[in-house]
Amino acid sequence: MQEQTTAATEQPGRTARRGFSYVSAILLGLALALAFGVLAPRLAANPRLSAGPLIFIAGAVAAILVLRLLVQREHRVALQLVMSEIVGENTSPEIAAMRILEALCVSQGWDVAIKWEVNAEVNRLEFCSGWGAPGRTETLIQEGMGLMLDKGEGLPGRVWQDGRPAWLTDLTSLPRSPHTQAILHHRMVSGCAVPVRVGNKVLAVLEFYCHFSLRENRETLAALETVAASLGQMLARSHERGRAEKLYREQEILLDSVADGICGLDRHGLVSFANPAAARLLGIAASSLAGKPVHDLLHASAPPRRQCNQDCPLRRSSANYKAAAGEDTIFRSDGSSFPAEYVLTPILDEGHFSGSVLSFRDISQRYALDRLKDEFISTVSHELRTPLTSIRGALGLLSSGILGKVNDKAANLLRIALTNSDRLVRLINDILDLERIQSGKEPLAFRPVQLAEIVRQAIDGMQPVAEAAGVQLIHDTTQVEISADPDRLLQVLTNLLSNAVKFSPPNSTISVMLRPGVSGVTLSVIDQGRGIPADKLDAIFGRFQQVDVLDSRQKGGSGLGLAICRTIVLQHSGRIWAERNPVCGSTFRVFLPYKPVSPALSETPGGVFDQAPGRGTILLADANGATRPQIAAQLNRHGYRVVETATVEQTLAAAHEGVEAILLDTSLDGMNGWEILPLLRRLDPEARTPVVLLSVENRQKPADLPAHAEGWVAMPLNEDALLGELARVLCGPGEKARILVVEDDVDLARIIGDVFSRDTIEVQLAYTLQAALDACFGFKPHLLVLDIGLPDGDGFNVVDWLRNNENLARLPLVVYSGRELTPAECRQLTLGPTHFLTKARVQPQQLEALVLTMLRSSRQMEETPVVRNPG
Amino acid sequence: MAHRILIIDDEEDIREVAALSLETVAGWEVLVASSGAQGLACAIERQPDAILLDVMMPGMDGPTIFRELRKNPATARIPVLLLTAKVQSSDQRRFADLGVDAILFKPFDPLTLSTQIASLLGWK
Repeated sequence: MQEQTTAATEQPGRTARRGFSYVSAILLGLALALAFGVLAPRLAANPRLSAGPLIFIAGAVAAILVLRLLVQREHRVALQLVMSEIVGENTSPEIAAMRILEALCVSQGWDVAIKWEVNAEVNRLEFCSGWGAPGRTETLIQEGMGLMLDKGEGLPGRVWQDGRPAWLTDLTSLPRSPHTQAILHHRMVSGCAVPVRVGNKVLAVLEFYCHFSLRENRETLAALETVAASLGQMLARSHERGRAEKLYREQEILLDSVADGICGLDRHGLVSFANPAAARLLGIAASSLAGKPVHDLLHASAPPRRQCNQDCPLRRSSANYKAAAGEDTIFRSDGSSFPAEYVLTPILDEGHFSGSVLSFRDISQRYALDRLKDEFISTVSHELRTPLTSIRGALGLLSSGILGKVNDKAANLLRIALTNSDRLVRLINDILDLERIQSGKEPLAFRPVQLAEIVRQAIDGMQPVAEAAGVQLIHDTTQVEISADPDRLLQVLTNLLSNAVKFSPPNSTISVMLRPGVSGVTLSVIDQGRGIPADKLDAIFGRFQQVDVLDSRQKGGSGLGLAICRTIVLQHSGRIWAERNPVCGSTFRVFLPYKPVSPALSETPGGVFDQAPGRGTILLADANGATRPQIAAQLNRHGYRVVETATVEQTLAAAHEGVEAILLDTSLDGMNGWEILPLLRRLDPEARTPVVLLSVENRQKPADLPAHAEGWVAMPLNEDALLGELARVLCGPGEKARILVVEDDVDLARIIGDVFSRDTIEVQLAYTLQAALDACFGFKPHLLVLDIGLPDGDGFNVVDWLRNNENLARLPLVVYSGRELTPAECRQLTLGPTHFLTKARVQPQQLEALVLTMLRSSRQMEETPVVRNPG
Repeated sequence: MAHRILIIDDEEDIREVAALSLETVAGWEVLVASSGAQGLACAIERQPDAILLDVMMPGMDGPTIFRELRKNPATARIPVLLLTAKVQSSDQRRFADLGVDAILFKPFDPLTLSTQIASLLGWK
């Protein structure tokens, strides 16, 4: 409708303009003709000027030419106006093209105009739309519909091929093609066509025909090309829009048909979109999901006794910038729940966190299957015990010789049979154990437990085995009480020690250490065995997983020990993980909170959640995109979980309760590292999270550390230095303690002194007995590191002497000797809490950690107020 | 010191191994019964010093037999030890609630069975 009225209003305008231009041109022409007409007779009167008539004719011709120019100019201007009007209106390209065709034909007096579009799929020109002068050419248009032209076929085909406009005054010169035939049939004489281009690509072709002969007119062609260019741009724009819409539709179809629930979250953790599956799984209309915080949607409707807490992994991950995956229970708005598996992936837009995607699915069926499987295992295990009883019994009696002497070969066979049936029994026990614990049929009995007691019990229990293997077991005496199930913890410790003994070479040491932290205590079992490959550190906690298949046969393990440990630790709301030691061996760490977090955990069907064993989380703030991943990789290798940030804003956002330490590069965001420290401290007023600075400046004395920083590591980064510093700051507040190191080897003494000088510990070195005794009085150390062999006496003298002095009789002591000591010697050397370490068999890290722990425990016993190092 | 032990278990092999163990290792006299009814009758008649009682048996199971033993004045004072493959602590609690004198687990070590029994019952 609109087009018709606009066309209608245009007509009079056009006519008026034409009329106007005609008027001026005619007037001018007349004036010229008149002028010449007046002059001519005068010239004619003069016989010499016989050129008069010629001049008259010339003048007339000139007049006509000028007239034409003017007319054409007017046409062009009018056409341009019309074109810009059409293009400027926001109609679809098809409608605009029609109107353009019409305007062009009318203005130029043509009869037919057709628009062909390039169909890229079949590589042909496709009839798109056409305009014909009324009364004459409708049939031509109708015939054209559905036509396709090849390249070079007909006038449009040729124009498409050449990429340039073409004008044919005589259409009969064209090779006959169906389309050309049709044109000629309708008595068209001349025609022209222009390509519609975007860049170098031809998108369409416009062709025009008229029934009278028309010579090529450059002006017209120029005007056509201008129009074609505008049309080209319009076409290109609409193609882009079409493609975008198509992609969007495809994406929507995908999201709609996926069975997993998918939610897009913005950077504040609010839902920005949710697919139908998500709405269905959560029991909420999709429209109500938008804008809600995702954690609320998943957990807020939990009944009171099953409410999650700060440690909830879903809550943490949705506030974090890191990817997360795991299993958890999702609660629908009506309170019903289902077990789910989820994956949360952050979206980084050019390095900036712009949101995340959460996908989750219902795994109730999988749980049901697990339960069936577990029940099956339980039944079968019971059935297995019965015949095993007979086997074990019969073999035991036979091989004992009590029923008669057996020859050697037979005795050996019996021994083999007995050993293996014992192994079977252990295996069945372990399988049952694991299934019982996991299925929650064995609820834990929590009570206040002194962890050191459990450690001692475990070590006592393992002592015979350790002695037989030639392995020394040492433990520190840190007192820490937690709420736990003592029998289960004993089981964990015994398991860890048993593993450590199995994999330690003779004459090595296994140390058990306790390190109380803010929310719980970290227990470490450190061995000097062959270590665990970095890629297996996680896998070993799976069922029936052993590092090396050979191990299982030789060491008699069932492959379930660590799986059982993990289950028990998880039921205590703790974390268990393994690390490779820098020098040799492994360290197994168990983190236990002082109070287990949620008793409801053990009640859920299907048992304990299968969470990844937790590690200490370190926040690594480093703007350097090249070094930061390397440092993160180093930390990962040692079992730390790393949150990487690159700007001040990210760092402040990520520095929260779950982070154990912050590694801060001192040039972040152009802001000097020092300036960030007060900001961090404001977030953490009680200074629970230590900050370690990474800086290229020369290592300074600890006293020079800026306020609010606890540690320092020099760049370029040395892996041991980094780990040592981290271990140190995580170990506890840096109290200014005093250690006396008595060692006659000056170089070794200096090395030991250096180890501790990093720790904001004051170290005094003594090389002789006399110096040692003097220092004991003057320096008043909190702890003594003592070498046995001294030039003017030996360590025994020192200890005897100290024992006689009331003030020093209970000094914590680390005896660091080059040779093995007999138990009698050890007794002689004992003062207060005393540990014996053999040189070259203990890592500096172990010595450091042991000393720090002993210091702290001795402090606790003295009840000395903790003095925070102002650093 | 010679003791007389009655073993009640439906598994013949286990009866044999346990009997052999107690006879050769400790020199005790061993009686065997393959069902609750048999065991009850044997206990009344022969008055053993202790009864080793299996839990999982068809017909009358261990706990039922135990209750019967306790009900009968002729056998009420004979100490009873349960011998069982059911090691779950929920089961253990159930057994303990019964009031048995001790619980032994299968598989057992034939060489130490007698000493275990002796120490559990406070003998020797």
